[in-house]
Amino acid sequence: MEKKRNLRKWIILGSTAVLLFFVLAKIQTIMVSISTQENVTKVDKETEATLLTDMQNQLAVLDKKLSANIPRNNYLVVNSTVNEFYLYKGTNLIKSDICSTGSYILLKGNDNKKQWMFKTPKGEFKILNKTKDPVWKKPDWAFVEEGLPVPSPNHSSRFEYGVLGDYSLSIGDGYLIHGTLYQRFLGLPVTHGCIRLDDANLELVYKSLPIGSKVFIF
Amino acid sequence: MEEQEKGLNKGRKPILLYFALAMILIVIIFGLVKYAMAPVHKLAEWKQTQETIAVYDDAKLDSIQRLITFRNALLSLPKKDSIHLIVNVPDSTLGLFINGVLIYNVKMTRMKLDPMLRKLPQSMYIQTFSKPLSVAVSEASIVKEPIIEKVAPKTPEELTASVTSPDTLVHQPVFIRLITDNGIHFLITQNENLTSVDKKANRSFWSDRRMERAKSFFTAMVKFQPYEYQPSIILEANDKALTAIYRALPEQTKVVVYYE
Repeated sequence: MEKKRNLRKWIILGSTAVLLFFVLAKIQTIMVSISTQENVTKVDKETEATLLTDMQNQLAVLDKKLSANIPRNNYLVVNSTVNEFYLYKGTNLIKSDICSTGSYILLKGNDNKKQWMFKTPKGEFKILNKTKDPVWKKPDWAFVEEGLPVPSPNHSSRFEYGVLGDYSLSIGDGYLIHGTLYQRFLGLPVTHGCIRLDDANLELVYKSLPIGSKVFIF
Repeated sequence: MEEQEKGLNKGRKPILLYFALAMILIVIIFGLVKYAMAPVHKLAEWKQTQETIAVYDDAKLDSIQRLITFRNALLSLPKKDSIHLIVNVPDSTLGLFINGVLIYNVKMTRMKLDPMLRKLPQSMYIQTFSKPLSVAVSEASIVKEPIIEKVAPKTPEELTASVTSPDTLVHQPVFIRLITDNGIHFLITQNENLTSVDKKANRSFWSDRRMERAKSFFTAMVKFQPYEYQPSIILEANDKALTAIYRALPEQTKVVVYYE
């Protein structure tokens, strides 16, 4: 008799606990359901059709406005985290492959006065200038990072031929899309902020992007 | 005399016990009510700044209204040079949007909306999501900019000794939390836990959140304060895509959300 009473007590306690747990887990959902009743207008078939047409027209206008933002010419997208580029014509992807972008190295000069940040800028840019057989005029940091003395601004040691590949495309502030002698580093973040491509991709990008084309970097 | 006192004490003990139990029960009931009512209060808070607009008892119209809301939000994103986040639940994609162009899109492997957002009335949905949400807090298990500080070598010989490995080559677990100014929490996590570091980071991310919620609940219960509900959206995608997205987004970014 005593055993039966104990068993009954435990069953009641257990089921209360389960019920309480269920209520606790679902109480917020239940309360939200109760409190989110809203006044809705009932529509007949005819009104529904009219409203649907109106809304579809509205949607078409909005879609048109949105698609007007997509560049009509070819454009380039660069993912600086995984070091990949995507060449688009409208919404169609023409080519994607690896590239190299900024290393995120913050180079501090020995005098602690000057420092340089080697990162690829993010945002929207435009091709401002295109050059065939570009010559690299080495900036001060190129000497500082190699532990070499910085020469005068137009010293012959500043000019290097062939290191940027066959073409370069400028996106402003000294940032270029160019080729590289170090093809094995493609796909890695190793540049001083420029975007490096292999020879074939550089030629394709050079030929596909006229001056004014958009370049999106993220 | 002593026996009389003992009898009195015996009588007092159960009264004190019942009183303490009753107090605890009151606090628990109060806490439960606060817990249950938290999403209702949040809805009321949102409603205060919104107007009542006409909605229809029609699934087709609802669906198209939500699409219009999404397009309106995309069009009202600032046209200046800034990158924004797009959460498209029906397409299961997370995207980056800049000046009207979707420049990156990645498939999500899991999406979970909390009950309040799932059951949000259509008029509130339209008014909440027809404009981009501003991110007030942005945190992650990875740094925004993986800067490597380097002092210039004094000689070319020193250069060879100072070679560094880029941050992006080192695998790091990615767990992101974005909180919008209307209180929606975006909990964005990587979909694979390959290493023990990933597993630890995963446990830590969720246990930190649970602890924070529990602390907030008990504080509200003890101090008889309102318990703040956090509407949340849980999203999951691969770690490399999430790293790219988090690093692309500025601190004060905007988010556009679309769900059905």
